[in-house]
Amino acid sequence: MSPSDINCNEPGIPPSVIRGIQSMFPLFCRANRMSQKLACKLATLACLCCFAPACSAQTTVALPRTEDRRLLTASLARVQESGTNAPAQTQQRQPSAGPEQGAPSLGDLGFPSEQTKPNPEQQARLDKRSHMLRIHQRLGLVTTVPLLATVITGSMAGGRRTTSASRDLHAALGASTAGLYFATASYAIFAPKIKETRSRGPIRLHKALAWIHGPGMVLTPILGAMAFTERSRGEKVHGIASAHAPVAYITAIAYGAAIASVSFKF
Amino acid sequence: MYKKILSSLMLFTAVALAADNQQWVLEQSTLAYRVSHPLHQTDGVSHAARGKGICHENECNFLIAAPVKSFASGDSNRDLHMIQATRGAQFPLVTVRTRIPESSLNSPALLLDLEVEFAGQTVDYSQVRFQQVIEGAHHRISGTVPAKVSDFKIERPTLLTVPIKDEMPVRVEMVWKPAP
Repeated sequence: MSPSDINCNEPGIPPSVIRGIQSMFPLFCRANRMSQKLACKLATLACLCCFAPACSAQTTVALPRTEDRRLLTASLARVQESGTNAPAQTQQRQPSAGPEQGAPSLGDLGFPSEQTKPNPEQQARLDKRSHMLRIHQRLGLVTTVPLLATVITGSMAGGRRTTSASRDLHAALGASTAGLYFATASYAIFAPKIKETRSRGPIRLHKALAWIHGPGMVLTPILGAMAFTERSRGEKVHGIASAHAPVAYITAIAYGAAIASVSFKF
Repeated sequence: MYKKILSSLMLFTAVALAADNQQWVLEQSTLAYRVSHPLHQTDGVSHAARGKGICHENECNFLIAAPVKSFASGDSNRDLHMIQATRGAQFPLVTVRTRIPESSLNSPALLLDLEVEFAGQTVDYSQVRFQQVIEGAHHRISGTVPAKVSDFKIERPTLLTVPIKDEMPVRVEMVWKPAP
């Protein structure tokens, strides 16, 4: 019995590979007729284990290998043609169902589960926080208008020759500023805090300046009211009320610096 | 004799299978997005990306992922706003998948088709240009993904009521090495 007589044809294995395996087992096949079937099985097993993946890759990828080269050449040519700022094509689509077969999955990357698990509660807190801080930002900008107007009218309200009308206007603008300021501050103070977040960067300066303009915005109207009363009585502003203007200027400067700290890059 | 042949075959099998499924692992990475506003530019940088590549049948599939909250811009308040705007608590990872012919793995210039999942959206960027420098077993890959805020249906954040620009290029620097 010749090796070629052994019927080892298995689906999916090229005949040339089968013949090669058979030629490796002639002595074994001739020595013992009982072992022929075993030899077939061994040859087939070896075929399946060893050559099948390689053969399959060879047969199925022989053409793509050529294509790869062509694609690579074309890609390189496109790179050379397109230059450095070649715009890439963008396409939005629905999220994919999952990775393709043989492709790595997120589980392979070993991220801790707390980093990959969606947290809708945290998202809701962040949404609320951002919403409140957006209002804080807008109200803060609106507040700068009466603040500037109060500072400007202050120079007309504090001199010797002042009228009650200019003092009233200054007082009204001051009251508006204080009201808007505390409304602005409340949106920052009551915005939800996010745990495990340490303040860093310009926001630290922004928050630190609040320790100056916050008390300043409390003191300024109180001192202003005292000064207003003294002037209304025809007295010269004296005592602690005379600190109204310096405290107001410091407050306004700190307030402006707080806005600038998060608006400009230093 | 036959034992030797069988052992050789088994050894060859192991080698053939290993060669057919070569794997790559991301050793180092720097991902940096840039957002621009008339008053200033900001870069958010992450070094926390992880990645893996599997080569099979002459094609390599790569996956890179980074936690959204790992991007730091130097301002904690801005980073929290970024996580909120990008729905980063709901979709905590940004993932990038790409496929490359195994024969192109050593090419100095790569044009990759990227599938980016971010903020609950999947966006394809085709023909994104990357450069590759091979230093021993390490493959240094760098390039820029021309992402836009609107690609991911993200509402553009504003500062002083002025929104940031739509362009949000993401600079990518990666070092890959074959998995041991």
